[in-house]
Amino acid sequence: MPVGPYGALLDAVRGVRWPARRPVPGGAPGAHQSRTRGVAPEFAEYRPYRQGDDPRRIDWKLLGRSDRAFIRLAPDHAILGTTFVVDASASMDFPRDSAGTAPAGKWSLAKRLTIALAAIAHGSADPVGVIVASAAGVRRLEPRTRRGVVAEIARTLDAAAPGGSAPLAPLIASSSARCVVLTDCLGDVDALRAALARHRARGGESHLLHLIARAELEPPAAPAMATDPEDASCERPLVEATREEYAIRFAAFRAEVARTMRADGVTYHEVLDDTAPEVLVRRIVRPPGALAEAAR
Amino acid sequence: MSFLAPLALAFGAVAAAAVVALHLLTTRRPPPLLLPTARFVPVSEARAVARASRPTDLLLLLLRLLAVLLVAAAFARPVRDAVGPRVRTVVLLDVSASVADRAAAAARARELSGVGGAVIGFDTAAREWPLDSVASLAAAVTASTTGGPARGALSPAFVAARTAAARIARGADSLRLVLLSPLAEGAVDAATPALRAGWPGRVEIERLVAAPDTAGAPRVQVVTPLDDDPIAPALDRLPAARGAHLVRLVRAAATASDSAWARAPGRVLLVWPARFTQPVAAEGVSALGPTPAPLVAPLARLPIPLSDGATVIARWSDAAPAAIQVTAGAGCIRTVGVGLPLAGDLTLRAPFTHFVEALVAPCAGIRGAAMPDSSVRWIAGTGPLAGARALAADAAHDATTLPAWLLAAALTLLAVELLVRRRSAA
Repeated sequence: MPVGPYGALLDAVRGVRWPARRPVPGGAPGAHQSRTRGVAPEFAEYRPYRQGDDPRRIDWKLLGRSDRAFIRLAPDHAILGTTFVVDASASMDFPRDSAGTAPAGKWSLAKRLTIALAAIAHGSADPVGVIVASAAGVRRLEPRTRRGVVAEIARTLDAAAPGGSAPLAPLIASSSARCVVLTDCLGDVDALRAALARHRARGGESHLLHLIARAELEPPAAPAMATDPEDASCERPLVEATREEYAIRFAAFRAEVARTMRADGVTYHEVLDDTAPEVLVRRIVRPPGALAEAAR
Repeated sequence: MSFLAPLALAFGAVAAAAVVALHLLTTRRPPPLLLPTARFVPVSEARAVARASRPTDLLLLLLRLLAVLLVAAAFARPVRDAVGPRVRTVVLLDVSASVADRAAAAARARELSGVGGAVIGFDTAAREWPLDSVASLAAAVTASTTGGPARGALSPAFVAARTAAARIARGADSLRLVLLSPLAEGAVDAATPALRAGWPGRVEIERLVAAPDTAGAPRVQVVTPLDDDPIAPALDRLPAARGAHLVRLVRAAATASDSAWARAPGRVLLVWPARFTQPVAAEGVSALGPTPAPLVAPLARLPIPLSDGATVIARWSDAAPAAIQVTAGAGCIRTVGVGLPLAGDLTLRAPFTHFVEALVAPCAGIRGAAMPDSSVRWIAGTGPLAGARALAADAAHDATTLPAWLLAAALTLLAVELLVRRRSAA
């Protein structure tokens, strides 16, 4: 699979599974536990036959012993379509990697996380797709299960250049059951939260990966005129007198985003650009029970 | 070049350093930094204080530094140093009639003053004399003292010495004060002790040979119709040494023989009519001279013949002449218009004695006896020479125009700085 510079990362996450947070709706057979009962060899329970049931699923031996018709049920597994909504606004291009060699940076981290998670989902036979929102427009790659889709996602991401400030909320409605948003939450965060909440209410999974650069937490010590790349009119002096207040405000913003997202059932992860992507991936795909266990 | 207030230079240096520091700590716009989370930076003044590694606006900095330093230099009060040796001499030369050989004294004063010194001639007043040459100095001294006061007064001399010292002290280490005078009695008045104490050093004294008439006592010949003339006690009370000249006191109208007698050198004919009245109020009269002799008593004004060439030697309190002097040959004739009271002890009092003493003084004036040695030692004092710095710093009034020019230059620079600043802002 020609995945370019992401080969090492994909090797690092090989074998990792990303189970659904809860039973998925029925569908094509897959790796995720389905809310429906199927005809798999594993026995789960009996149910009285109802009109309309497939007569082939009647347990004839039990019918012979009890003279009543029962349907033999087994746990079903289905696929979980996954769509990655990647924020490619101008604020994601930070710290700007002018040489193109530095692995750090929010945009680089977003690409790596998307590809690694897509590879994991694709390994479970889930269809994966990507939506990239940038100043050039929305690039969409519909969820697919065919081979090579991860490479296509990689090419799509590499072809995108961060810029502008495209809204992400309208893109959530067209995503798959599992929607993973990778953003720095510096755009339409309120609308995005509402969209993810609606997606969650529809039975889907909503994941938000909040990307934060270390340089945003600890900006350069030298006095500077901080300028918002998405809003040139926002110029504020970042000096000794304002640094502490900046840190307080930014921390409060992150805490508020995490609180509201989690309150709406969104799986929220705050990821720093100086953390290894494979570590972040394992943290993201860990089931909630494992998280609680790890926390204990 | 010296500075009368060098502390201002230190303040100027501090101010200049502050100007440089302000140019390093400029409130300018910091360099831009793209920061996606800029919205969380508190809103504040867009111009933040930044510390530069090197001063900016070098032209403005140069102009401001120059202006500050010029102002500091102006307040430091620069003065040009006088040319001369490290030790300079101020000579107080007695040019009164009490000096026997004034030309020789002038030559000696010129010799003592040297380069960069000053010679101050004094009698009852004092002024600095030019040092162009001994001849010119001697001529000036001789010309100035013809018919002048009979003895010198030290008080104006010390005042003039201080002024001259302040002028020549800059650039010198110390100042030497030399007093050339016979030091007749009466040269010291009430102000002299304070003025002497104001000179911060010793005084070197060279006593000149006094004129002969300062050594003997006057011989008064009284021609009076009165058996018991009330002036007689005052004449008897005159100090022992008051000039070796002849005085004829005529208490009636002067005769031709009296006038002829007065034409001989050193003779004084004092015509003081013996008219006694009963005045109703006290009158004030004062005999003029180096030491005024005031007299307040119930006196009467007698008519005196004013004529051209007459010199008033005593005046009433309203400036009306009370006694005049007319030159007669080598002597003089004095006419007194002061009527004495019929009764009382006025003539026995000291003020009357001083008044009479002034009237019987030599035609050139009262000269006086030699000053006691104790007074001379007090005037000379002890200790080192006067420090030049103290005297130069004391010359606050001796300001030059240099500070004004420096201030003008500083204001000009500030105006240029304003123009440059406006141009750069535009």
